[in-house]
Order: sequence, then C-alpha cells, then structure tokens
Amino acid sequence: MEELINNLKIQIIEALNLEGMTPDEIENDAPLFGEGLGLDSIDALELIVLLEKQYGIKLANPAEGKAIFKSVNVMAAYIAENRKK
Amino acid sequence: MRRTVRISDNIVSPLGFSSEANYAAVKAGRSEIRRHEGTFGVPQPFAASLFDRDVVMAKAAECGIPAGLSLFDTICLLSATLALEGSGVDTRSPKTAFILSTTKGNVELIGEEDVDQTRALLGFSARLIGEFFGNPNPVEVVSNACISGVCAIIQASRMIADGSYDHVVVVGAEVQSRFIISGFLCLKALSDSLCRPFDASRCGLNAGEAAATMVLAASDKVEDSQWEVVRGAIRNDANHISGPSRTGEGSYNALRYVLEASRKDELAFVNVHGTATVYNDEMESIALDRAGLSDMPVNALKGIYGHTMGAAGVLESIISIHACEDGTVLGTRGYSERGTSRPVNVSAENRTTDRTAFVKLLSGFGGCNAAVLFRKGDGPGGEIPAEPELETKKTVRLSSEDCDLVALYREQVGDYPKFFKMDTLCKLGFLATELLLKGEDRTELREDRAVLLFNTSGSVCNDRHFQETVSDPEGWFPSPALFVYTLANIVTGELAIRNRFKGESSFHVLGKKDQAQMDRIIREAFMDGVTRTAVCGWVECSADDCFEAEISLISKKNS
Repeated sequence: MEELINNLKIQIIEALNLEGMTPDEIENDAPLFGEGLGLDSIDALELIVLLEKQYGIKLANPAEGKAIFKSVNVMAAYIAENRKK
Repeated sequence: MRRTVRISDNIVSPLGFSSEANYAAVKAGRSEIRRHEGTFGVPQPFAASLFDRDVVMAKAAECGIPAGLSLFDTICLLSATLALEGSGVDTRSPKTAFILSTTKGNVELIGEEDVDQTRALLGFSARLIGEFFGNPNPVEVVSNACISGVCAIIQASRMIADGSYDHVVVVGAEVQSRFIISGFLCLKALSDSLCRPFDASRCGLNAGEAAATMVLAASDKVEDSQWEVVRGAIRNDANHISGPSRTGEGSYNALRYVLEASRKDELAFVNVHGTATVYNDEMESIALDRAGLSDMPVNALKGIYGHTMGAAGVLESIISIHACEDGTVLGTRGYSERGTSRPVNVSAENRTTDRTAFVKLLSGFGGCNAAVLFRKGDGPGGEIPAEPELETKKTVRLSSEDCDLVALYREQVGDYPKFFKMDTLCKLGFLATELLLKGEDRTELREDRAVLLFNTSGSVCNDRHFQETVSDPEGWFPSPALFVYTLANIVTGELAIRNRFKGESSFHVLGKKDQAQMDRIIREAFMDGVTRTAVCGWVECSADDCFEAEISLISKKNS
C-alpha cells in the first residue's frame, strides 16, 4: 500500500503539473480539493484520466470522482480495490 | 454616422444549403442530430449533427467550388458564394473585407502525414477565402472560442462604422473531428442523446457542423425593411478558463451594455447560448434574471443544430432574423421542464410575436461572453463613439532567442502556481503582461480594460500536444488539461483572471504580423464605449521553443 501511495503521489504531481512539489509534501489524509493543493474542476477530470490510464479504472459517472478524490489515502484504497492493471 | 445593415445571408448545414431551407426546417422542428458510435474512431458514443460529406461535395462542385479542398474550406467557400450571389457586392474591391469566425478550422489535419501542416492553420483557410473571391485585403480570423461568431459581427460593424470598409462578409464555420469530439468527451461535456437546453434533465451538449455567412454593408440610414447590427459587447468573467461564472458576470455585463441601446418593449426574444450543459444554462438564467429579462421569451437552437462553435453566432443570428420576419419566437427543441435556479421564459413550442428586434447571446471558454442587438428598421443606439486618440504607455518584448520562460517566472513572479499548468502560449502572454503591469494595482476588478491579442499560429503548439493524447497507439487518453488550452483566446482569459479584467477580450489570427492591421483592430476595440485602456499585441508560439511576444499597454489620451 505504501508503494502504491507513493507512486500515486508522483503520478498526481506529474499529471497536474504541481511544479516544485514533492511526494512528502502531499499529506495522505489531507483533502485534495477545496484547500491545500488548490485543485479545480479540470484537475478532477485529469485525475479521472489518470485512474483509467495508469490503473485501468473507468468511472462511469464523473460525479463519483468527488468521493474518490477526497484524499490520497481514499484514492489509493479505491485503486487497490478496483484496479485492472 | 455609418450604420451597419445586413444585405444577405446563407446557412450551409446538414439541414440544407440556404437560410430559407434551414429556417423552414428549424420551424418544423427538424434536426439531423443523431447518436454516433465509432464515428471519427472515437471509442465512446456521442450525439451530433454532422454533414453527409458526399452531399456537400456534390453541391460545392455544382456551385463552382474547386475540388480537393477539406470539408471545412469547402463549406466556407460554399456558404460565402451562396450568400454573395446576387448581392451586388464587389469582392475584389479594397473596400470589401472578409472575416472568418472559427475555433478549430482544419485542426484534423494536424499530424497527418503527407499534408502540408500550414493547411491546419486558421490563417490558411482565411487566405483561401480571400484568394477565391479575389479580395485584396489581409485575412482576418476571429478565434474567440464559442463566442467567435458574435465577435466577428461586432468587429464587422466597427470596420464599417469607422469607414475602413463598405462591405464586410462574415463567414462562421466549424466541422467536427476526432480532435474536438475527444476533447469534449474528456471534459464530460457531451451527451449521447438529444441535448436538452435549460431542462431539468440536461446532461451535456451535442456537437454540430455548419457554415453561415452574413453580408454586412455600410448605410447612411436604415430602411424599414433592413436589419441593423445596432450594438454589441464582449465582456470577460475574469473567473475561470473553462467554467461558466456562478454569477453570470460577463454575460450580464455584455447584456446590460447592449440593452442600453434597446427601446422598451421592442425585443421579441433573446436567443441564448443554451448549450444544455448544467453550468452554462444555469449561468445564463442568472445573467438574464440580473438583466431584468426573466419574463422575456428566450430560445436556444442547440437542440436543432448541436453546438456549431465558430459558426454558432452567425448561424443563430441569421435564424433569429428569419424567425422575426416570420413573426415567430422559435421553440427550444429538447426542453420540457425548467432546470435552472432562476426563472427563464423558455418554451418547447413556437410562439408568435409582432416585435422585430432581438439579442443574440453567447459564452465561451476563456471566460468570454458576447451579446449583440439586431433591429429591423430605424431606431436609437446605433451610434458607436467616435474613435479616440490613443497613446502607447509601455511595451514589453520577449522572445525564445533570449528568454527562458520558467526562469523568468521564478525571477519575476513566483507566486502563481497556475503558471505551470498553462501551455507555452499562455505562459508567454502571462509573463509579458506581468512585466508590462508591474507596479500597477491589480486588486480591483475593472471593466474599462480590454485584452486584445494577435498571432499567426493560433494555439497550434498545444494543439499538437493534445493531438498526441488522442492518437497515441497505446490508448485513447485525451487530456482535459491540454484540451482547455487548444483555443488561442485562453491566453486572454488567463490575463483577465490574473489581472481582474472584466472588459472586452478577444483573439485575432492574422495571415502575418501586420502592424497596420493590428493598429486598426486595436483602435476599433476602443469603439466600445466602456474601454479606456487595453493590454494588446502580439503573442506568437509556433513551438515550445519558438515564441515571440510584443505586448503594449495602450490608453485613450488624457485618461
């Protein structure tokens, strides 16, 4: 799980162009949206692409993203359970 | 005072090859919107109104349009040819100009092997139109996302009012492609069934293809039978590059400005954008309500044509003129039950009217919004303020020859992480403007400042990056973060957000860097009664390591 979390952080930083940010700076439990990283609706859509491209997970309804992208921990748990690759 | 009147028009769409045929189809509620599976090789279903290419090419051949052109270039020439037929306009005259309104033109040619890549540039298509009609003037493309068509009509009326031209032919066109459909799919903005503007169950837009042409002429007075372009406005939300404003800010401000020129009780309806996305229609309901128009009949044509993007402003204005002539407020196909927070007077059925004026309203990516008032016969409000004397306050130049954008950002700015999400064109425009406005108080929202930028390559550099994400043999993973930057005018939106500019914002693609042409368009931007200063100039980016900016702060003298 730790490896998945770390890889996920690296993928998020790259996909969302969080320049200058290191994986250590993203807290596992901190909310990804609303505060902290300052992410917006386009970032949420980019995370949907990340799920599909890296883990083969297709979200049928983009509104599901809201619950899944709550924090890195929540996202990693969802990936561990649903990943196709 | 020179007024702008419409002398002829044409629509080429899947519903027919004339404005009359199109209007009859719309009035009868006919549409060519169909569900598509596998079209353009896209692995998800979507609904769209698309041309039958063979039918278009056969009609084009019949009308003397050369063979071997792309579908996009063909419909542009075909629509302009049919609109100009019998109009008496001398297209070879230096007093006649053409404006092309489009967002993506021939974008599907990007990355195609054995295709000259300059054909994918918007300027190529505009030049082709000019050459075909033997027009001696420089090409001009208004590429302002989905509001382009109304912007082109406003631009044309200014070119006529200031005496630059006697006739302006406005051609708005769009064709769909794997590029555009993939982009809207990754934004989750497309519906795979008929779109439902303003309806409670609306779930996204339908894509559309069309070309529409409006021929405008200078006139000393407006005859009873003539339609005048009375007044237009372009306003930015200064809020988000792709999300509509939650307060309807720019749309309301544009509406408010054009309504100042309308007589009480003269409007038959407002023909709105009505894309049938959740956020657009909600935003428009707020803007209309704020403008006191919650009782005004409102209609949207996206349930007939889909979203024809660069053609929409021209096409929907033409249909609205023909509807007024027919005493009709067209119904909104796809609508059944209101699904917006504010009241809007929308109906699925056609209604009757005896009024002969309307407002056309549009909004687009880059936070831009536009409104234009059309009226039949003489009336007030047609005056455009005299051209003011302008002065250049300051100019900043940046070039890939001597500048590393990231290093410059770190040295001069450093506090705007959004910078790293931008494409190179936006980074360039952003940094040049940061240097230009250094020291200026930028905390106040201001409607009196316009942003007006030019180049020849549009957003082609980022277009290539996005195209790679949809043509990757490893899989189809279109990137939403790249797609939102595949419109050249996004840079004007980024500047508006950063600097809180709520005034006019527009992007023009030219055939080449032509200072006289840019100076004329900049002067014309000051014909908007609100504009007092403008950030304007050149932002060209043909590749990530090949760019050039020359941006100035221009002001009315003594202001």
